[in-house]
Parts: sequence; structure tokens; C-alpha cells
Amino acid sequence: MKDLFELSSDGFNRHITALRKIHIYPTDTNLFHILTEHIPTAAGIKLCIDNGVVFEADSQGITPLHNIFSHSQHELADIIFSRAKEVFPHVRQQVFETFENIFVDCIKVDTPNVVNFLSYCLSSPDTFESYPIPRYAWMPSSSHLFKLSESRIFTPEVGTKFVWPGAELISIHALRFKLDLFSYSKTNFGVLDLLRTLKSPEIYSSPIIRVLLEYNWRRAREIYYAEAVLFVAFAVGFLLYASTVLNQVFLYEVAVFVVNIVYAVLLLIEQFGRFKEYYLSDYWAATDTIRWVLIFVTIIFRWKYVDLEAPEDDPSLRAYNGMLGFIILIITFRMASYFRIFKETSKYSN
Amino acid sequence: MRILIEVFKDIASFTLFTGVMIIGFGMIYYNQNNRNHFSLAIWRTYNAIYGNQIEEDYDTPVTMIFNVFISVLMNIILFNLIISFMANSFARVRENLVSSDAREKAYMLFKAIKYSQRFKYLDLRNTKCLKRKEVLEKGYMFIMRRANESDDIGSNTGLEDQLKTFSLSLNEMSGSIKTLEVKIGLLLEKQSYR
Repeated sequence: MKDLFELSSDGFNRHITALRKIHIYPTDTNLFHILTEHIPTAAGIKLCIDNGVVFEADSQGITPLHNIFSHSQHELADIIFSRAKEVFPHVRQQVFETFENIFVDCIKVDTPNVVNFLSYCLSSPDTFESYPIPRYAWMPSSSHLFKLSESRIFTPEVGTKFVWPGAELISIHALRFKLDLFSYSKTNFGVLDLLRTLKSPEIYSSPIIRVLLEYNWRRAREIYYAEAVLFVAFAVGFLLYASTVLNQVFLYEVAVFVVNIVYAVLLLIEQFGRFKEYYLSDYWAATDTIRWVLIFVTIIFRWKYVDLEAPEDDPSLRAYNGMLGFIILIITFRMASYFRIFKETSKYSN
Repeated sequence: MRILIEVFKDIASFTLFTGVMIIGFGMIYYNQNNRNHFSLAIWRTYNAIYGNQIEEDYDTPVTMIFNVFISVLMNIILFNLIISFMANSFARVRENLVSSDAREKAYMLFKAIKYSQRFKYLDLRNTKCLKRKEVLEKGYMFIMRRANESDDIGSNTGLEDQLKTFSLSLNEMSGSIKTLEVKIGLLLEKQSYR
């Protein structure tokens, strides 16, 4: 094989053409495997595709994509993805099943061509666990049109629940390989980690990615809803403190101070805890930090230097009011940020 | 919020340019007013840019000429420039809305999983509610939609899939027709016995 790659490009091409139907037993490898495993080059991959070498899994369930990712040459995978139309239409279902382990790597390629690949990862199934899949369903007229679910909903017992007056023809697509949807799983968490920073915006439009995000969001949104409710309660409490005579009530001031301590402790745990390495890149976290520091400074400043009965042009009183105004500005922006939690990512879910 | 951030990023150069102009014109007024109250001169120039001119400041011929400059340069050119900046930022944000939203949501999810154990409890609670532990194990993901919806699923799901769905629905219909035929046959038999 080494000699083969020492040949001139013409000789190399001739040999590749001659070897395109090679099939090695008992490993079930073909030329595509050999080239991607031993000398992975763009030229070799292009030649394999040009010569119609079949994209197959070997006896161990290893495909050329597995080999490429094991060498961490994601740019070579992009070549395959860019020619997905030639490679994937003829690939068997069993081969797609093996993509379960490399799904994260496929997303990591991060080019618009990944969308081509992902589109071939969806197909229209005929059956599920030997049961026929219901083809009619009742669709509500709201924006929540589609059901994202685990496979359980498509068993006949549950499936028939969809069929009632007003049912209409539906089209069902299934991912051709299994995904581990447990939140901490390598696939689920790995994909979410990647999705934070992908450069190709096209990938986010892929139905698979949108549904995956929405599925996770449906599970996590309670956390953010609770956070939003708590923050709004705190914001209203602070606004009352800042804009009414409540700032003259010592107990109310102490209550605001204590709640702020709780907030600060929670944020510090987040900052110095497991989320440490990402905290500084989060601009909302930065505004939160500024907010709680300012609230402490303002209240302590008020206790030490400000007389609320002083005339309006008293410098300490004006400084105190200025600080309150700045805190209200930060709180308003933070409250606006919570609007994002009510927006859905995919219409393919219900 | 994303729009605001993008606009602020875009107008950074504009703000710098405006700052230079304010200081420049402020210095002119400062000199014209016998070098009194520099900060007041800057503040009045800033006001003049946004159309809030104080007539007493423009009582000499030189300051009147500069007033014309401010009106043309700041009020007309710079304002139009900032509007075009903002329109451009807004269009860019709209264009990338899907991806920026998804990025943000992925970040929030990542944070929720990485930071807190609460997500783990949610997973467990879901499992408990469904009374099926295998639900959160590996599984196929399904996407369901109206058959006549426009096709944005992907290149693999064009005419071939529509035909497949159509043939399956035909099969189901033929199945129901057969059942109906059997029922009608039974009814006819009953009728004939009577």
C-alpha cells in the first residue's frame, strides 16, 4: 500500500481505478477504508467517490468517516459531506446505524455541507418495532404543530389516540440512527457544547438540530422559568424600594440586602464552581455581578452617608439616587433578557 | 437584545468619530468664549449636535459659521450615517436570527446541564412520570409534520417520500375499504336470512 502512494499521480489514479472493487475478507474493508485509515488525503477520498467506491461499514462497524475522525481530520469529512448526494443515497440502513458514535464529530466539521449529510440521516420509516406507524394524526391549528417524542408514542396503543375526527395525513421522518438523549450523555451534551460556538449558521436550520435543541429545552425550561419568576419578584421588590418610601423602612432595606446576599452567593457558586471556565464569556453573568456589587455598595452607602430627609441638592442624596437609577437600568436589561426563554426553537415539536 | 448588542458594536467607530467632532468643536467654542468652562463648552456642543442649540452661544460671526458646519455635518450627515448603521445591523441580526437564537439556547442548556444537578433530577422525574426507564436511553428521534407542508426537511425527503407516504395511505384506505366490504357482506347476509 505504501508503494501505491509513492507512485506518480497518473499511476496512482490508474491503480485506484483498478482497485475500486477490492473487498478484503474477513474484515469487510474496501478501498475507501484502506485509504482513509492508512493515508487519509483529500485526493484519495475524491478518487474513491469519483470511482464509485461504496461507502460501507466493515465487520467492526467502522466506516471511512470513523477512520477520518479517528485521525481528527475533520476537513476530509467535509469533502465527503460536500458530495453527500453521490455518497449517501446508496448507503444501507445498517451503515447509518453506526453513525451513532460519530454524530458529535460530524457536527464538529462545522461547514454548510454538514446540512447535506444531516438531510440523508433522516428517512421516512415504514414500521417501528414491526408495528406500522400511524399515518394520520390530528393536528391542532396552533403553532405547535408537531409531536417530538420518543419512540413510545408510535406504538399502536398510543398511535391510535391520534386518529380522531379531523385527522389528516402526516409525514413522519426518523433519524436513521439511535441517539442517547440523556442530558449528560456524550452525544447530547457533546452536541449542545458544540452548538454554542458553531460558525456555520446553516447547521442551526437543520430539522435534526432544531428538534434536538427543542427536546432538551422542553426538559430544561422549568429551571429558567423558575429563575425568571424569582428574578422578576426580586426586581419588583427592588423597584418598590427604589421608587417609594419603602427605602425609609429599615426592615425592608434589610430584606433587600439579605435577598441580594442570597443572589450573590448563588452567583459566586456558579462563578467559582463547575461553570468557572465559561463564566467570564457570559455577558449576562457580568451584568449580574455588577448588579449585586452595586446593590451592596448603594445600601451600605445609604446607611452610612445618606440622609433621606436632606434637601434635594444634597450631594450624597444625589449620588445615592444616581446609583439606584443605574441599578434599575441593569435590572431592566436583565428582565428583558428573560424574554428569550419563551421563544421556541422548532415547530416540529409539541 | 441581540440587536442592541450588534448596534452598539457597529456604532463604536461612529461614537469615536462623534466624540472627536464634539471635542474639536467644543475647543472652538472654548476659545471663542475666552477659555471659560471647558466642560460647559463640550456639553453645549453635544447639545448642538442633537439640535438643542442655545442662541447666545452663536452671537459672533465665527461661531455662526461653525453653527452652520455643525448643522450640516452633524445633524444631516452623521444622523443619516447612524440610521444606515442601525438598519444594517438590524438586517444582519434578522438574517442570522435562527442561528443566534439556537446558539443562545444551546448555551443556556449547556449551562443548565453543566452547572446544576437540577437537570439530572428533571431527567429522573421524567423517567418516573413515564414509568418507563428505557425512555431516556438510546432511541430514534422522530419528526412529524403535515404531509402537504412545504419541504424543508432535506434533500432526501422529496418526491420519493411523498410517494411513499401516499402509497402507504392508499394501502390503509384499501384496508379500510376491504373491512367495509366485509361488513357490507355480513349485513347483506343478515338481510338475506331475514
